[in-house]
Amino acid sequence: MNRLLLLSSLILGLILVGLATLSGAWLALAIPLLIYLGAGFLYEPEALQLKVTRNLSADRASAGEPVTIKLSVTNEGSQLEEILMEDLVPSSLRLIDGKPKILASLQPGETIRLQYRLSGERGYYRFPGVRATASEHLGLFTKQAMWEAPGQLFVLPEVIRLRRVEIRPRRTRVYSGLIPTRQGGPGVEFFGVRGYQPGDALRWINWKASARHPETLFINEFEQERVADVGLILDARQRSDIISREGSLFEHAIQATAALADAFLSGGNRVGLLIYGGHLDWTFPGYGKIQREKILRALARAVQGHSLVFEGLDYVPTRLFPPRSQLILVSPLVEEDLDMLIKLRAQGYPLLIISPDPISFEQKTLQTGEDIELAARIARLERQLLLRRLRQAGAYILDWNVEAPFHQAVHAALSRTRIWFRPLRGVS
Amino acid sequence: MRTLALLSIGLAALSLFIAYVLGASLIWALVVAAVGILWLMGAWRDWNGAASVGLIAFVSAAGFGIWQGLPAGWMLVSMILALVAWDLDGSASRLREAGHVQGELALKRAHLERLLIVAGLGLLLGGIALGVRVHLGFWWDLVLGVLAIVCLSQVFRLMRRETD
Repeated sequence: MNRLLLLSSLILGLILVGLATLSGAWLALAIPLLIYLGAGFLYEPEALQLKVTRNLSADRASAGEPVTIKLSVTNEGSQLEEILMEDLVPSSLRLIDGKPKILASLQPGETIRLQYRLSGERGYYRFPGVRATASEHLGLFTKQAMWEAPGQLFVLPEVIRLRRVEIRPRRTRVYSGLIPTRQGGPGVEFFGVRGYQPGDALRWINWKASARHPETLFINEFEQERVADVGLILDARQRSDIISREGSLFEHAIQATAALADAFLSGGNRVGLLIYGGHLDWTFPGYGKIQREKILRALARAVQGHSLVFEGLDYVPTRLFPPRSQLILVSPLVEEDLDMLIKLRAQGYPLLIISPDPISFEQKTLQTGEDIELAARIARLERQLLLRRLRQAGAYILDWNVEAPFHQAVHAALSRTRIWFRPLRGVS
Repeated sequence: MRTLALLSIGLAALSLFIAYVLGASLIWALVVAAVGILWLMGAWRDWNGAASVGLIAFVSAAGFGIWQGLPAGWMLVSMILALVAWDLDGSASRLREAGHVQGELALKRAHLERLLIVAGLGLLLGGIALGVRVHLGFWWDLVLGVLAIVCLSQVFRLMRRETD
């Protein structure tokens, strides 16, 4: 109940009854209350003039890593008998120690400092500001104001180190890297033999082949290794996600995307990221550590969304990706995605699909029973059919049961060159 | 703060109880004691709104006592003690909600000093007012009543506006 309202009502009531009953004693009872009210009014706080600064020990952290927040509040106005400073912490962050509130008395020019530690799950958090509530000692008259104290915290997804992810895009860039290009030249892996040309190093002469053809000298050729363009597409559509007590399948997809981005950037490739959900979040392709940070921050920000426009994958902006570059889609997949993915293949993009298995993920949380088993079997058959059609279209699919760690799944499926990486007939 | 609040509630209930016993209203004395115990329990267990309900109950009981012709001095003392208890309860809950209080002792001391002054002044002026007798006619009473309502309404409105 509002203290001021309660007190005012009591005073008014006593005075009215006193006047109505012509009793001075009733009026006398109102006097202490009136004095109390008057004292509050006399010391009512003036308009707040504060200077608030925020300092975070880090603006990026991994999940569960503690971050220290320091707030400094300076009174630039008149004396404040009691002031409650409350930092508005995003509700999904978890306090580890300290409290985001402090009650103090502030003289003009005096500064109070507030410090606490928190941690959180993957996400992007903005600190909206600080709420200041000043009152006199009796707590009757208060003045409240919000003060901006900007701060942001990226809690980045966990990055799993992958040993090697083999891809063979049809187009590579000019810089040397780790991706075999199907072209002879300097490299490590044997590619073929060709006739000797002046200027070729003598150490690469293939003596056995040359001995069979005394007229000519042959030299060994190696497969050139270069960097490539890799486009990562993360499916953030709400309809393709499964949420259970143990979490969301989307979080596994994010973890996989982070691991892949890290692996390809470590190999010197140019990597871009498209998050396809309620809206399109595009991270322009780039190289190196800065690009890694950009992608991880984009993944930290990623949230699932629902949009009628982006309900299907029909609006994936393929023009963002260089022609014939390697595309990697991380998605649980829904049946309607088939046509669009076949189109992508037809446009000449080598397509690798990392598909966290939604059926086993959901089934794990459901009770066992004949109905459940039957439903799961039907759903699994439908999914297998979808995956088979995609494989027939030339996409390579990693059907990932998220119970297994991602690096194990990748190591088993993508650590050596596969048939699907070979060029299609008639395509250079 | 909490201990002082509990003490104030106990004293307020005791002074009302004595006043009602002196006036030979034993049943009402027991009712007052029961209300006091309830408020004590509410304050002890941090029941939400117990202090506000307690203050209303005690002010009503004091008014009822005056209407019954019981000694007004006891009523005034009891009401001031209830006001003190209500204030201390509010202060304790503010300190509790804040969690971290900088200069807690100084804050408490400053608050208690002000409360003591307010309560003392209230007792003094209330006591004087109980001793003063002014006879007013009906029309004077009516005019003063209307004036009081208008003035108090204006003051409360002004206060609320300034607070907002």
